[in-house]
Amino acid sequence: MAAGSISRDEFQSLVKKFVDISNKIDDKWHLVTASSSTYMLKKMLATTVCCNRLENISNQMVSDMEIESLEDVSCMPDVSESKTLTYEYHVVYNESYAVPVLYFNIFTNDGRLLPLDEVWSQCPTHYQTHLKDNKWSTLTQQEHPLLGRPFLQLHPCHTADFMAQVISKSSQKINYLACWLSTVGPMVGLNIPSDYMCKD
Amino acid sequence: MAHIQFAPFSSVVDPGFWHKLTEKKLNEYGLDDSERLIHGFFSDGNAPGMPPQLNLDYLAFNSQFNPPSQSFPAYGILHNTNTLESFKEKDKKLLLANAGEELWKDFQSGVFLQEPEKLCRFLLLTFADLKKYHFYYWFAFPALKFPERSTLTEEPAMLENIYSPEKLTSLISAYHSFQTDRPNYATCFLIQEDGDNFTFYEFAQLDVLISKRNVIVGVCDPSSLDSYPGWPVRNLISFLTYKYTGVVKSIKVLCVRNRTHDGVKHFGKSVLLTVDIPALNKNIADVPECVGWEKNERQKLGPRMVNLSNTMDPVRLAESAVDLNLKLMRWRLLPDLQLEKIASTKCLILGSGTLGCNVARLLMSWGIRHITMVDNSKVSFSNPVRQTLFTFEHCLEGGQPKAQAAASSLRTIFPGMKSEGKTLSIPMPGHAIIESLVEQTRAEVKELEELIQSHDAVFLLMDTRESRWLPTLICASKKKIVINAALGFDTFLVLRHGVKTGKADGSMPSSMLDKIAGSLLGCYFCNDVVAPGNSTTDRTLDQQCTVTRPGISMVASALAVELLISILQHPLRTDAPAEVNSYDSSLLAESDCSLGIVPHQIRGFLSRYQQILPATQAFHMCTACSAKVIENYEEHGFEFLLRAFNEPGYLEELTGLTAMQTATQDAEVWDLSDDEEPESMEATT
Repeated sequence: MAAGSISRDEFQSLVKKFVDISNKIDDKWHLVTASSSTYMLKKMLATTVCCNRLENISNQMVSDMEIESLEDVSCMPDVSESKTLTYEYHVVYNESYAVPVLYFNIFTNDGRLLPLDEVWSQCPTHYQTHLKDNKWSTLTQQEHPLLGRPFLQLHPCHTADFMAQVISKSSQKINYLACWLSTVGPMVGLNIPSDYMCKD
Repeated sequence: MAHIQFAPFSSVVDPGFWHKLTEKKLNEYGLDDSERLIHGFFSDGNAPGMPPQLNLDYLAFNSQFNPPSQSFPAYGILHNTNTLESFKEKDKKLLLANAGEELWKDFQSGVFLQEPEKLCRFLLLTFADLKKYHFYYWFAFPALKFPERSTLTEEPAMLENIYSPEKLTSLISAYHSFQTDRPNYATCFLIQEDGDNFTFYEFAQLDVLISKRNVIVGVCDPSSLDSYPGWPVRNLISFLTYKYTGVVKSIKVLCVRNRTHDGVKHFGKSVLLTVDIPALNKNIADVPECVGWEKNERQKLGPRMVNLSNTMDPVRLAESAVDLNLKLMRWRLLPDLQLEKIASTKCLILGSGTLGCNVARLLMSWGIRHITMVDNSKVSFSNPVRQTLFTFEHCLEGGQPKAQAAASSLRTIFPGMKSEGKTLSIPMPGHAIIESLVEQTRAEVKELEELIQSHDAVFLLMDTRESRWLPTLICASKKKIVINAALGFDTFLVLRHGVKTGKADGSMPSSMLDKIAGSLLGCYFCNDVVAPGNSTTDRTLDQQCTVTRPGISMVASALAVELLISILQHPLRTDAPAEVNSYDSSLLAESDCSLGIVPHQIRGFLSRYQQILPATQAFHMCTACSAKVIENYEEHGFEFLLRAFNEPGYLEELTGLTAMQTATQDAEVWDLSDDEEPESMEATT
């Protein structure tokens, strides 16, 4: 293995350990097996500052079908629909780069993916400048290797280089996944509690 | 005492659900629109302020459904209609009434004792427009108005207000040991309270335990709102009312809310309800009214429509995948690479033969989307093996026009291409225009002028030398980038024409150069002391047709495209100077452009596997790009061109070549000819 990369077996055992810690602290990561590959998944819900791009286009057909509300005293009174977004993160192993890859999507309640530029604008502002000149965090839309649907991806082309540096600078054994995820995750809204940082 | 009001579900549809529905519709359902069983799930761990949500993802269609860990299932029926009309016409009242009837039947049969999670149900009406990737949908979460209203006998109590922290901890640990022993988490269960200790029982024990004073019915509650329990609690209370009306006066129901803070679970926001069980007439034959259609984003009872073409349309997906490949080059190797400059360049390809096809393919690889192919012939049987955009099919029935066939192949390969084909003959000097064809020729010239005007870069890839004259002249006048490629049997020439931008003309004295400014570079005709004439008349068939080593076209096409890219990436673009000496020392010097140097000419000799990079200056008597010719063209337009086509010797006379030839004959210039001069190169495709 080249410096900073890991084998598939190492990956499998790393995600298992990661999910074990997650279960203890209820961090909502779990393992999924698809096409005989295991990956790690987390979904979370967040309210959003509503932006116009998230509004669905109104549709004549749809408004034609609207009907009067029926009286129902046992239903709570109307509140304006709260805008929530679902953040979904997948950590998948990439064979050719021999590193884990972060795939993620942010979607609206009706299943629309946030376009890339909208995802940028959801990124914390202090990360946006950081992202611009950070090569290893390059964000694109790609097909999920196991699900075959479009996901945003932090491209793995610089992960090994980056991890090799971290490993060489660290005096003790580090938790590879936690270390990598806690560096790239916050840019896309994913926070990694320090509980993962303990030694293996 | 106030009656209970319940917070309805909001639907959340994962993009994966729509992908799966599409797959099912195409591969399995076809036109069969009968109802299907599907599944959703909800969580009881919603953070404050989050609405109760019912989630559907790509696993919804699995017959063996396991909700994600610590989530609870919901049982749905999918009605996927074949047309928008039937989506519209579907009797919504009837659908919901049927769902109510089913619920009522299950109340009566008591099936919920064994499977209380089935109290949580939904209907989903969909229409998938798979041409546009528009999905119309409408959820219903059926609930019976039974009783019309449920009342509380005590104020609802939040557990953190009535239980000590120790008691709460004890509840949590009892809850977890109960749930983790089961294959799936139970939605409903029974809790026996004994001081600070709790014992959990399966919901099936309800009949045995209901009359005990210290028994609570537990239900996992998706709501996070203090005063409103979620929808699953509603059907549970209906069922309890149905079952125990007249038997008990009230039932305690615990709405379990399982939140996590900093890795620690707590139940403190769970709500304990003491529900009044009214004495009702149990022999009601009529099914109670069923409610539950979801409101849409405008808070109206109505369907929703979602447009997913961005992420489901394969054409758009291909586009983003193609872009990514190019971006990788930038991220990994060339941070300065300006892909936008390349992508926005419109290319005109004159000649759709071997060179034209290969050049177009390579431009496409570089992310150029806008390509216009021009040719005047049809695809013949000998073409497809060398001309990489054609297939055997293109040759049938007399052959398709090459330009259109090539343009449509580009779109077949990549639907993101904006490619067009134009069948057009390019008038040539020395090929006289007879009187009757003058108007047609005028139209052809006009079309060529317009084409050149509307593109940024022009490739001259025709099979004769003289057909390059008119586009060379027009491009020189319009100051367009020109890349010229010509093939011999085992030789090739690729060159860029100097673009007289007026920049850098005086900045580099021509006497002491190792570089020539881009605007001073010659064109294809600058090295010639004869005007282009009819080169095909005296040639045998093998001389007129493609007689080249097949690899030559690939090599020359590749260099032609890379030369364009180098120009586009150079900060000076066409003004980029060209090295005169192709010595390693000058070529290896730090370049202004991340892609390296921008040569003027690349001449290749396959017999020696050798390439040289000469650079030559524009010739002031050039028959295609000299000031005199351009001025005459710009002043007299078509009338000037017509003379050039029809009058042999006119261009030589105009530029002074005739005079020069007369003068140099006496000086016997051939004695001075350079040994290094590459051998003469005939243009073929």
